Amino acid sequence: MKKFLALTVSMLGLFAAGSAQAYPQFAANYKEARDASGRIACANCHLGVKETEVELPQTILPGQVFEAKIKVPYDNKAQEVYADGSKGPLQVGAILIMPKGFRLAEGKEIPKELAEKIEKGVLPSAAPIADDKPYELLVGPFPGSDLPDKEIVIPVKAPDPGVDKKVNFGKYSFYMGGNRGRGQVYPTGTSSNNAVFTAKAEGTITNIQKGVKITLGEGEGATEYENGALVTIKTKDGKSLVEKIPPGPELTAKVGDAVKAGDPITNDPNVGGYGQAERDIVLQDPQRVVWLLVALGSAFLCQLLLVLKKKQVEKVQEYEAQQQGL
Amino acid sequence: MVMKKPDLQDPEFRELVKQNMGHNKYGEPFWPNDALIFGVVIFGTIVGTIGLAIMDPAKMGEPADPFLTPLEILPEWYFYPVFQILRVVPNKLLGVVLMLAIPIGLAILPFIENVNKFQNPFRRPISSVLFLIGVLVTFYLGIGAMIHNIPKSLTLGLF
Repeated sequence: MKKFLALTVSMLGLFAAGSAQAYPQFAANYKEARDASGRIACANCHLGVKETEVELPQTILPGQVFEAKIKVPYDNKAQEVYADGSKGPLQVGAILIMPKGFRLAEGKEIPKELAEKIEKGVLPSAAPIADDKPYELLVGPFPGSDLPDKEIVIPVKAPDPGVDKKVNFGKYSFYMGGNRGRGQVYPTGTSSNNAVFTAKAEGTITNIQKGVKITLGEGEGATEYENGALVTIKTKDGKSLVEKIPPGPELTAKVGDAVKAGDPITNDPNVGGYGQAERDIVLQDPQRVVWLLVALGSAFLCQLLLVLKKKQVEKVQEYEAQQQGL
Repeated sequence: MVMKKPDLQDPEFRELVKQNMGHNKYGEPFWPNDALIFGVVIFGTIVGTIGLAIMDPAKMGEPADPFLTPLEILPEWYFYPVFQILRVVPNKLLGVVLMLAIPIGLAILPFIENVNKFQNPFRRPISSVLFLIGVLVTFYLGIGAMIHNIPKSLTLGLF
């Protein structure tokens, strides 16, 4: 927990705006974190694609606490670029969108073993995306190097349709996304410093100025960087174009290089990515299971009786055949 | 088990056998021997359906948004092979023509080996082999449709 807190605080410091916003949390800005196409908002910012796997129980009973496991495979040695341009271990995060009525398990509801792990800071803790959406959970950022088995475990409490009349028994969909590393775009549309930067026009690079204070984006989405770089490109018609490069991506272009529009002038610092998955879960009525067992039992009894009846009929037929001397 | 023997003295029965009929006149009787086993199968089917409906019920889908295309476009499962044809063939017109080839091929199949007087599929090698190849191709295309990446869907990720 301490580690997580320290990290959150450090992330706060990294953002010039000073808002409580780091990568998974940006999803809270959206009215609906998942749209009807099935895409979770995280995919808007994380342009790299990485696999995400999900493990859920097939069936749960009302009021049961169960574990939603989100597997986020990544390279343990990978170093990612932070918002100030420094490098550090990869951060991981996750989003879990559940149907209404499901919520994060709290306090004593959490199984002891899991609660201990979360308290010790071995596993990240989840939090609702907003106060009025307890069924949508966010996890992280959490240092990926500390995560055992590269698996985020979230304790979830199922609703009880007997108590909560709005919830029905049946099958529900769980939507999950796993993020590794920071995104390439901020929700405002501004590029982050974890992306590859390209030349905007054809021309020759005439000047590279390093160690400059730059601002990327405009208005609300503007982000200031110390120690940025300015790359001047002289186009064919004699105009000078200045590209702002924040700290993080390394410049690959040199003075005198000829570039085309869209050519990368930095390397791609991104080592992370995002993937999402979907699983169905059945909220089962225990009473139904009992009656199903009764139905199974009685059907088996009927089948048994029918088979026995056939055996009896066969015996009679055999006897009759003997009588007729066949 | 008592089996009724064919009565070869009966001229009516002999006439039926000549025409490849009359199989109901001998062997194990339907009533009551087979009818009882029908009951076993009927109960098994009903209980299997009830069990699935309770343990793995159908899901209530989410409301659709006509202005958003889903991330993965897939038709109902029984259209997977046809969908894969449309997806893989580069020309749209060619794809539609190939789609038409499926009902045409199925309609032609019984006539391909019409000179052959046998009905038994084991004695109609050309028809049977063509049908089995068609089944294999259908499965191959159907599995391919479930793989999002088109080049990978052609090799099924095996090579």
